[in-house]
Parts: sequence; structure tokens; C-alpha cells
Amino acid sequence: MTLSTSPSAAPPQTPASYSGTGAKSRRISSRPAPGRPGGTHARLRTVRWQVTAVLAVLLVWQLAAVTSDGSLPGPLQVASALAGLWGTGAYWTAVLTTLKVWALGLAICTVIGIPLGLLIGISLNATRSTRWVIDFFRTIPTIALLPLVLLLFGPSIRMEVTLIVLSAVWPLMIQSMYAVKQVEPVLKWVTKVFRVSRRDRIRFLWAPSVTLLVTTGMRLAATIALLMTVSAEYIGGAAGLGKQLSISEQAFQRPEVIAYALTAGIIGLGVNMLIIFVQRRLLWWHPIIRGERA
Amino acid sequence: MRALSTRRRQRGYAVVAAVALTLSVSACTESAASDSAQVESLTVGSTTSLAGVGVRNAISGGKFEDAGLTVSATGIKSGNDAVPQLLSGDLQIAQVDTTTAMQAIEKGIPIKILAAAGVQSTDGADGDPSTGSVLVTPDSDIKTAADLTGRNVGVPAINNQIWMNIQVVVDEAGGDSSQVKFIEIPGPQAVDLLLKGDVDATTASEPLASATVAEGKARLIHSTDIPGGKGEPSSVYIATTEFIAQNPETLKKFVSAVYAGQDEVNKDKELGKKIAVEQLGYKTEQLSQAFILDYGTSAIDPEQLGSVAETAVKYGILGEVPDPATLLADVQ
Repeated sequence: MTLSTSPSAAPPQTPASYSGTGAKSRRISSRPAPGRPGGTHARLRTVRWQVTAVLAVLLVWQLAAVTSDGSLPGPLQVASALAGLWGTGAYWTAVLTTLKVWALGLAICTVIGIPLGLLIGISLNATRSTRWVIDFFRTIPTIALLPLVLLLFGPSIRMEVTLIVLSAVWPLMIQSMYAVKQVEPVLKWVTKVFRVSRRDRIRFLWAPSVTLLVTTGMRLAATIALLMTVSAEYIGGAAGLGKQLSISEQAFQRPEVIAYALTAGIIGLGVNMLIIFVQRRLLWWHPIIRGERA
Repeated sequence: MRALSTRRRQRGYAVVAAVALTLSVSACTESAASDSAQVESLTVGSTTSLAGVGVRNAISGGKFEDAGLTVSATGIKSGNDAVPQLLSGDLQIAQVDTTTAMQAIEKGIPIKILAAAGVQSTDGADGDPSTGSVLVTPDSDIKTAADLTGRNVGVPAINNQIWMNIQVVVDEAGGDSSQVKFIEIPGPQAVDLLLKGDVDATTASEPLASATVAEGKARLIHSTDIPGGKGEPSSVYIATTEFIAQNPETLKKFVSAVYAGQDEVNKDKELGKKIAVEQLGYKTEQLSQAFILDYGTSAIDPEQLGSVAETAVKYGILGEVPDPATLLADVQ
């Protein structure tokens, strides 16, 4: 029995890997029988359900627009507005500005949150002594601090990054703390008994063990960071998607308002999918990831 | 040899002292020169509503360039956003409601009024449209401003100029403004909330108000102009006292140029609509019925400012009537 969840261990053989017995048994092909989990058919079925869900939402939206007496633009109106915005430089400048600030804020959160979380998680005393502090600060609604931060830094990137870090660093820190705590004690003892070097411990024990929860923390932090970026731009007036949304709102351009909001949503979806993709590539060997892909 | 080295040493000290003296004199001269050089590049925080058309026309029409200034306008949502940016130096000039400026000065914030931006465009007669309107649904039983007594009225903010003006209008019409229940609602959603029935009446700015009335969705009760208040400044440009003290000539040029740009729009409302479409994101069809307000074109009359201040004291926005000299910068 293997205790390790390290990638150096060979992936376990699943019953579905083989059909039949003996030398002529073969591995599962890239085209499994229809209906079997993990196959192309299953993925197509999933995509069909996802498209159905999106169409249902669009239908509900259209119904709401029709009954709203003109105050809510419908999907077609918004699509037309979005297509119009795609042809403008202001739109793409806003998108790139928002992405730039979001990436910068998330990078700073990563640099602060992950090492701090890992260090706090290693020590029981540190975990206990920081619990109240962390719980207190992460519960403060960051948007309530916007007027103060705006006064200090004005409608600038620094204002946005400050708000991003104040809101998005917590999930990274907490996930990193728990990641350290869930490392299998037996594995730690084994490395200790065999006097495995620090470098090898980090490479073969700690890094594989904490990566899943840390990348999950990244997903949460990425979403929160994007929300805070757009909010800071919308309320604080810094350049970006949020500010364009605000300008459109002040000019009573409702389809454009929703088009900008949809843009933020699409960016959020793209970011989430990217992180999941990277997580699955990096952690292909992890039982939980294998279970998701099955 | 010792005497020679001493003389050489003394000569060396003299040379060093001379160089040091020269450097310090030139530094002082440079410093004095930079102290006397005034800022020529300004960022103006201006509303993105139609009230911001005046300064934008002055920018795009080259009025500031002609005066030797480089001016850019950045959108701000309200005076509450503008004042902190002014104090932190992110903005050099900001456009705010007149009452907001007065409140800030009363609270000791070191700012002064430079010039008028928007002015009240009508004398507030019944039925006259203006830049802000009080609207009701077509079937509402509210027929006059006096009928707003005891009803819910949506306003963009309480304790600001529009809120104050509506109270004046209600009282002048024979109602009791103290019985009006004001509810803060966001401007873009004002008409939606009226039509949903969340409020009995609402204020709406241009072009939303005129478009809504033209579509038959709402009825105009009264504009937000005070009876007899034509020409009173509704919004003003402000700067910090420090900036004013350091850049008086720059600000005189600014005031002169902005009045020239605003005068152009007063004389040609279509130009104002064009600026609104090109620079503020409005659509041409939105502005077809829109009422374009008047903008200030000359120095603010201290008596008119005093009149606004007295009204503000009467309705609790200010504690006491300020001396206009403490409000106005000497750059007009």
C-alpha cells in the first residue's frame, strides 16, 4: 500500500483501465463506451447541460426585460451594445487596465498570503495566537474602507491594489494554513526517520501536499480580487471597467452598463477556468483531481 | 616648504569656499525661480452629467490652450469624492454643488470658490422645464408642488442643493416641506423606482427627465429651480487655499478661459449637445428633447451667493450665513 500522494508514485490502476484479463487485456481507449464516466460522450453531455443552463438564464432574462416596461434591456440589446463597445478603444483600454490591476493585486496577495499562511500553519501556537486577528480583519467589509483609502491614495492603482490586498489575501492565507495542517503525520515521521534532506522534504512532501489547497485558495482570491478591482473602479473612480460602467450609468446607457458588467463576469469565468486548468495539469496525480476528471 | 604647503592649503580652502558659495547662490536662484513659476497643467474633477459640458467645451475649444494652460477633465461622481482628491493633490480644481462648497468651507476645509459652473437657468415658474425636474406618474393625484406634503419624494442625496430647492418649491407653492419624506435614490434609477411605486414623486436630471415625459411615462410637477433664482450658481469650481495662494495667475487664466467656453455653450445649445455626445457618452437621440442648462459666464455676484447661503441656513444645510468674502477666491 502506498501512503504517498506524491507524483513520484505511480498512479493507481483503476478497474476501468483494463478490459478482460491476461496478456491480451488492453487499456481503455480514448473512446470509451457511451455513457461511461470520463469519456468524450460524457463531456459532450456535460457541455450540453451547461449550454441548456445558459439558454434558460437568457430566456428568464428576456422575460424579465419584456415585463420590465423598458427599464431592463434584453439580451439582444445588451449583445448589440457589447458588439458596439468592442469596436471602441475605451473598452479595450478599460479591460486591459482592470486585468493589469487585478493581476498586480493578486500577485501581491500571493506573495504575502501563501508564505505567511504556511508559516502560521506550521506552528500550533502561531495558529492559535493569530486566530482572532485573522477572523477580525477578514470579516471587515473592505468596501467600507474605500473612502479612507480613497482619501489616502486618490483614485489610483495604489488605491485599488490596497483594497484588493485587504480583501483577497485572507482566503490564500487561510487555505495555506489548512494546507500545512492536513499533511499526513505519518509521512512527516517517515521523512524524519529516514533523515530526508530539507530540499527533498519540500520537493516530495510539502509541495505536493499543500498545492491543492493553496491553488484552491488562489481561485477564491482571484475571484475576490476581480470583484474588488471592479468595485474600486466603480465607486472610487479609478480607470478601468468599473469606471466605464459608472460613466455609462451616469449617461443613462443601460445596455452598455450591463455589457460592462457582463464583461467583468466573462473575465471572472475565464480566470476561474484558467486556474482550474493549471490546477488539473499540475495536480493530475492527485486522487481528488482524478476523481473530478473521472 | 611648510609655508608653501600652508599657502597652497589656504588657496585650496578659498577655492572650495568660492565654489560652495557659487553653488548655493545658484541653488537659491533656481529655488526662487521655481517658487515664482506657477503650475500650468491642471486636472479638473468635473461631473459627467450635462453640468460638465461647460468646462469640456472650454478644453476641446482650445480656450485653455490659448491662455497657455494644459487642462484635462476627469469624471467625478459627487462633491464628496472631489474634496478628498482636491486635498490630496490628485485634482487641482473640482466642480461641486454650491451648497457642498459652502458646507465644506463651514467645516473648515481649506477651499475657496473660483468661478460659477452651472447656474439656475429659469425663474422656477410652474411648468417650466429645467435641468432638474420633479416627476410623478401620469395618473398620480399629485398635481402641484404643494401636494408633495406628506409624500415620499426620491432625491439623489439629502442635504444637498436639489433637496434644498425642492423644499423651497414646496413651501412657495403653499405646502409644508417639513412634512415631505425624502428618500435617497440613485439618479439613474430614479424613474424606475417612481414607476414601480416605491416613491410618490422623484427628481430626475436631464436628459432622463425630458425623455421620460416625452414618452408619456411621467408628468412634470415642477423643475428643481427656485422661484426667482435665475442666475444663481448651482455648481461652482473650487480649489484649495494653498493652491490659490501659489497659483493666482494660473487660476485667473483658468476662470477667464472657462467662462469663455461656457459662454459659447450658452449661445449654442447644439454645441452643448455635441460635446455631451462626444465626451460624456450620451447618445444623440437621448438629447433630442434635453434641456441644456446655462453656465456661468462672469464673476459670481456675492449677493447671489449670499441668497443661496441664506436658503441653505433656512433649511439646515448651513449653521450660519457666511461672509461671501470668505467663500470667494480673489481670482474672478
